[in-house]
Amino acid sequence: MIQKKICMLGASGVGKTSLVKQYVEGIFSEKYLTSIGVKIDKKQIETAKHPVQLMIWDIEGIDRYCGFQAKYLRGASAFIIVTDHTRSQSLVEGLDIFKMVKEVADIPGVLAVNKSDLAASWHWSVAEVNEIKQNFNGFFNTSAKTGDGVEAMFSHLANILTE
Amino acid sequence: MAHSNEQQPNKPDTQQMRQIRELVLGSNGQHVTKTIKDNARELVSEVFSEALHDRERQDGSVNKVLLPLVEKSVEKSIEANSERFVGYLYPLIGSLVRKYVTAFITELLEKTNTLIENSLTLKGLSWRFKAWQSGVTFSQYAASQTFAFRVEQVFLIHRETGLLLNSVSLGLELKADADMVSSMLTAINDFVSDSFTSNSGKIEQNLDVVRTDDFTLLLKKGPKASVVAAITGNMPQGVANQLQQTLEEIHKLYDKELDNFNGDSIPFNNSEHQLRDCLMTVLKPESNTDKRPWMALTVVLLVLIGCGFLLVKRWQSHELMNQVSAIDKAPGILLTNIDTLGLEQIQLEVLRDPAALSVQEWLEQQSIDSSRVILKERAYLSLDPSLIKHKTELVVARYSNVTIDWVDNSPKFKGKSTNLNKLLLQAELAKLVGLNFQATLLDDLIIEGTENTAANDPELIRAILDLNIAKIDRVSISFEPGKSDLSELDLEKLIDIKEQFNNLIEIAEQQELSLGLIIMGASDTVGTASFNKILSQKRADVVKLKLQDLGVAANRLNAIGLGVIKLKTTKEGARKVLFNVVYFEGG
Repeated sequence: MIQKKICMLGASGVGKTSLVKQYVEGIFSEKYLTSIGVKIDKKQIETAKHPVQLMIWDIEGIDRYCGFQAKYLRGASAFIIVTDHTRSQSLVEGLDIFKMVKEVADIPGVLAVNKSDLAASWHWSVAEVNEIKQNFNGFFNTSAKTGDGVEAMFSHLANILTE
Repeated sequence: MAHSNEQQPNKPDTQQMRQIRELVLGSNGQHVTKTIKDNARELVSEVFSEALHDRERQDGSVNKVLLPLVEKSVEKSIEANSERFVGYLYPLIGSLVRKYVTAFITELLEKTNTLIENSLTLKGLSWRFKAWQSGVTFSQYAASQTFAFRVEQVFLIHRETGLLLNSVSLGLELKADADMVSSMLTAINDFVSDSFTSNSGKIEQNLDVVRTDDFTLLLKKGPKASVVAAITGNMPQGVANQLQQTLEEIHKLYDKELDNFNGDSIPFNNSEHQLRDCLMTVLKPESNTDKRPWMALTVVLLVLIGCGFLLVKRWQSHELMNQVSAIDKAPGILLTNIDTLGLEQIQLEVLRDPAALSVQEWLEQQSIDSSRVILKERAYLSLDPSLIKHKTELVVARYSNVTIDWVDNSPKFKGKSTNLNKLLLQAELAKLVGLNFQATLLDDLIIEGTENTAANDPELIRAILDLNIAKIDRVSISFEPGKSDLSELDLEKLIDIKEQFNNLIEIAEQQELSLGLIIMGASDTVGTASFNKILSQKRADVVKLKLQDLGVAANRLNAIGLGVIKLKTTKEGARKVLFNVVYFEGG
């Protein structure tokens, strides 16, 4: 079976881990995240062509004070930038991360605006967000709480990777 | 011109030739083609096999052409005649399956055998306990004990992505999924490499060995792939070398595949052969210790000694019990219960006549250690003839001039005695239960003088008198309802009373006492009061007359009819004659 490594990236507290948790039944404890900065889960997905196994690297939240572990990106086939539409700063940081990733790897990226179960309260206008998402290979409003958009996002990614 | 002349005839020539050719061969050579076609079958069949062979040798194209055709026709044939094919294949497959099943069962039996060996021996049990103690499965622990080292699992990991390319194991499955383990190992390696950069330069730091209590993870990194081995036991350098060799081999064989890796691990399926080379196992050398189970033998010996000791003790107790049981035969001692008590002692419960030999004395006589006998004794009166003899002899021993002759357990008293002593003796002997004493037994005693000082003591004499009077008072004579006849038994009683009463008269007179016997007749409540009064008087009179006949002075007798005795307790027993001896001062 084809396996693909994908990375979950984003500022601290945007809900990356919750998104993964919503999606897979993990076996590793979350303590790995705080100890070595990454936790890995896997999920098999049926795509239009053939099944693919995603190895999802949930990488510890990155912020301006915390360095970016570029090594964890090595060999990744795609990445997901997770933001939180209740915090304007999360998109700023998400864009920074996006730039950093693009510097080291030319791989498809998907933008996830998380916490869609809550009302949007960031300062970004719809137009601005629309413009930003042009740079990505996919855009999803997700909710780790209700599960909205999560499955669709991973399936979309799997389909991109098997094209 | 000449040149043109030369060419002139050529043209019609060519045309002619074509015409001739057409005439002979037909247009487009159809005559020839037709002829060949007519004979095609023969022509081709002549060279068919040879042609196929030559062409196949030439470029191998025959096979290529035929293969799909054959495949298709076989497929069709099987579809159409599946039954027949099953028939063809059945014997072949049957034997294959049998072979496979036999191999499977043999393997299963061997495994079961090993399992039983490991489970039921002392070693197996202790391993099980230790495995439980250290929280690993029994099979893991057994492996760790049996092997000096064992490579349990080998992973081939793509260097760049950390994705698992292939893995082989010895059957011991890891708890975690191999895919995840390889990714995680890559992440950890990245983490270590980032966190601990050496000062000296830009050389990337890589994990080489990860050691836990039970496992060693050996990581060998190549430029495009890594090999990781999970090892139990003490890993020798040989494993690392083998890993390195395998890694190099894989790089050589799969160079392109590693470069073009897109997440598909199928091209690496064949790397299993290389990886299997790394699954090395070295058994622990069998310990040369003496395998004789000394511990077990010691335990068995101790148990045997213990059992033997208990048996001996038990036998000794049993012997003692048999010995002590003989106490039942001792006169005046009745064995009620005997049982062992602990290892050495026995508990003895007896009834013992106070006159009999004490248990302690009896034990001494039998030379039995009395400390081994716990005694519970209760008193009773024995009717054992020998004991009664003994008691009688004890009584008689106090009277110096009196001796006993035993004739079939009945005593004959002989010798000399004062009248008083005779009475005393008579009183004492009468008290002996079981002797069946009668006053006549003392008839042979010769009465001599009364110069015994003790016999002159008036108080003593009065006491003896009272004693004997009480004896007469206890006698009663019973009658049938409404009757006043005396039976043989009554007569004997009256003779006895006469004897005793006359003896008393003598003693009473010595003490200047006047002695009288009141005979009281009584009747039950049946009948009228006057009739009963008369009946009771009549009964008293009959007894009085009889005593007179027997030789008691009439002036000492007084018969009274009491009539009905109205007492709750006296129903049947009321038809009686009772006696009361009275005496007065100044006889």
